[in-house]
Amino acid sequence: MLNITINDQGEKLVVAICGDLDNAASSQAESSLAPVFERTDCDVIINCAELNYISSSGLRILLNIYKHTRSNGHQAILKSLSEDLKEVFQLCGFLQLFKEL
Amino acid sequence: MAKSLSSRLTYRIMAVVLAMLIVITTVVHFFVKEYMLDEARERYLRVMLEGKQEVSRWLSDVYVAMENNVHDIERDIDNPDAMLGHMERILTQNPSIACCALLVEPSFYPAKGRVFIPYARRDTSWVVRVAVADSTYHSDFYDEWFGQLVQKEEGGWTKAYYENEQVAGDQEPRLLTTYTMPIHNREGKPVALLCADLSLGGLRERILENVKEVNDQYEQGLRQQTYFFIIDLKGNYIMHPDRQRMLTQCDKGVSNMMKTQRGTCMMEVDGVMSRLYYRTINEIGWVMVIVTPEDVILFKARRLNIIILMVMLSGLLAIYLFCRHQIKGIADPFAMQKATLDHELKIANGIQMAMLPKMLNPQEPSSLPPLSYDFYASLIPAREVGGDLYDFFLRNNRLFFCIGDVCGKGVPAALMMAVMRAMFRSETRRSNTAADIVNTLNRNLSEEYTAGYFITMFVGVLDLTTGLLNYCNAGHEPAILSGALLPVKPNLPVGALPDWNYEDQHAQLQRDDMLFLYTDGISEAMNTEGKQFGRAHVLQLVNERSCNTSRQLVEFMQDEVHHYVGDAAQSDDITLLAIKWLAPLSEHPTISLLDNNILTLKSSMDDIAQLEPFIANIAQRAGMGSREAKRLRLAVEEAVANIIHYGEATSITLKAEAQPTAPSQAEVQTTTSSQVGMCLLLTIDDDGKPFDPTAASPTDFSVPADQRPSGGLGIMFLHQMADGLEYQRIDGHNILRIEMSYNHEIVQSI
Repeated sequence: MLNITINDQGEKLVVAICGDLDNAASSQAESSLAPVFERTDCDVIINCAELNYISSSGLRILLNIYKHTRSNGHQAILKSLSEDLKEVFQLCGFLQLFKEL
Repeated sequence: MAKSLSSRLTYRIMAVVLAMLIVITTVVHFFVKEYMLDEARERYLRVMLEGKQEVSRWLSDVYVAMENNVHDIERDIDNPDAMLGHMERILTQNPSIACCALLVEPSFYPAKGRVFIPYARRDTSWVVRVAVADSTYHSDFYDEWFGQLVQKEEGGWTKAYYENEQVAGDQEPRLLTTYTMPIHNREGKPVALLCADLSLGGLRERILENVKEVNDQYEQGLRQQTYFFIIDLKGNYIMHPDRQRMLTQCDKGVSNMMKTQRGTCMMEVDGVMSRLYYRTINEIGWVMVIVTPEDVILFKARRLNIIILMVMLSGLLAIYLFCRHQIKGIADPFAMQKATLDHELKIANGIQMAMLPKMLNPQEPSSLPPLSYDFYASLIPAREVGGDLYDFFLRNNRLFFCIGDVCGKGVPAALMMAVMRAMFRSETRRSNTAADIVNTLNRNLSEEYTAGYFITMFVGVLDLTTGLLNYCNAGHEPAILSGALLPVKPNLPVGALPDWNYEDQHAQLQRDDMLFLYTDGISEAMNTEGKQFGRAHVLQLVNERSCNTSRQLVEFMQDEVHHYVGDAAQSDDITLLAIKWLAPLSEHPTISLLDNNILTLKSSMDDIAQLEPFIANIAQRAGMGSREAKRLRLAVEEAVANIIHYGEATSITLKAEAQPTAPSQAEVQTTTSSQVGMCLLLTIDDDGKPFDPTAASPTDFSVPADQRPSGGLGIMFLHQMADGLEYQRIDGHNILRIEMSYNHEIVQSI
């Protein structure tokens, strides 16, 4: 089950990802996150407090968000990453890309 | 502790030298003794010759004096008063004569009465006295003598006798022998007897002087033990140092020896073993005898012997000290080197034994769930270190095992054994079939070791789920499976030919089947009569005795061989190995994955959603924690996604199994009773393009994540999450095994 909510706060965009971001959910996630790619003038905060699981397809989506914000001179920030997920992020080197809150 | 090498060497040398000394001393003693005896004989015969000449001279002095005076006396026979003058003159002129008398026929001179004996004798101060004996003077003696001797025409010697006490006066009566000669009147009729006494005591004194001269040269301080005596024709002593024996009969033995002119004999005289040297004095028929105790003759020989012995003993002591010092210098370093070598071999033995897998004691209470196999092995090296090996290793619910025998024995074989065991271990982590393992071992060994070492080996891979045994026999003793020989291809031993191709063989084990393996140390074990135990005997024994556990079988065979060999030395390493397949592990009640453990998907992203509930269900039933479950999910998802994206497969089948991991010794000691090490095995089978994720090139982590080429992330996660990965391509299918280790909480049922 994946549930993505986007909260536009003007200067920053808060994206909350709840559930499992796996292969099965990747197409759903891509469409849900389309609004993020329309904004070019703000930072993106990704709230992972309720993110339970992520696979390589999910990570690829997050990598695209990072590349997008960075090309616009803004930042992508990870928030409330659980220990289990931190290990996955660490393994693939993503922890060095994203800022963490 | 045993005596040191140097001590033993020294004692042996000493024993030999001592034996030589004893022989030398004995031989020297023998010859010296002979020489001493010869020398003594020569000496005493010479002494006796002198004595004999002395006696002869005295006798002839008396005889000549008599002959010279007989005419003067016969001329004056009618004038009795002239006779005293004759007597005095004879005595004065002849110092040899002790006393001189004329026995005239009774009543020959009417004016002189019946008895008329004019005589002359010396007194104590050697002054000549003359007198006429009267009728009171030993008349019986006179009658007897005169009666017998006057009848003789010639002169002669009387037997020895003690002189008349009256004549002797206050002197000790002397032992005398008398020369008598008849005196004739003008008509030629014998009328008187001229007598000249010879003092045997005086003669003895003269002989002694001669003997003493010779004896003193040889027997200083010992002379009193050597003495001489003379016996007359009748065997009576007439000269002897012991006066008591004078005129007594000598021993029969002594008189017997007078039969020869001269000689030597040995007999006990007065309780002393003595040598007797004797010589006959022809003129008068006496025998002169010198008596010398054997001890006196051999005194010098014995003294010489003692001196030789002392010198030799000192030599012996010197040799002993020399040997001790020299041999110690040479032998002790050898002994020390040997001790060091022994010690090192002992340590090597410990190291080698530590290389072999530890056998769990099934008697010990254990909270571990029962294993799906029962394994036991034992190795008894013939020397400190040996060339036999066995090993087993559990991976992916498969039991990899081997038994092997390096050609040769001792340290070289032991080193090869260590190398082989390390190679086997590393190969079991990579290869999946027995033939793969053997082929790799063979290549490595042929490339790296040119010394011509080879190893007979049996390598097996037992699938604990199905009981399928995959094996490869490289020239080893045939294995016995449930009482029958396992069919084997005739393969070369490992290391014989580098390009030999070993092939797999298969056998299906039934529940409770026992596989028995051994090295030729048992089949070729020899008893004291040199007869071999034999392969047929091994097979027969395995069939005769039904053992419940692998340990029972191994120990039973060990006892049999031990009993058979008896006192004969163990000639080769003996290794025994038995495996019993009990049952597939999934039957174990704590982990029931028999149902709902298979998932089949179409190769489409639409079906990938089924993966999450399947893995969640498996992880829960297998008792995995949430972290391990997520790792498993990630690994499986990446693998399946990869197949769907690139594999062009039509369907994908997943199968899950769980099993306890083979407990190692360390785990047995530290595992708490409520936890057990488990392994979950997930097999993904697809019919797509051949693709081996285990061989995919790893992601380059030095490049920042956003600059890496896309793709490869999933494979990376697959490698990172799985504890074990194994790929096989079989019959157009990709078979990927993913292994996850975890600890399972077990509720104790008491």
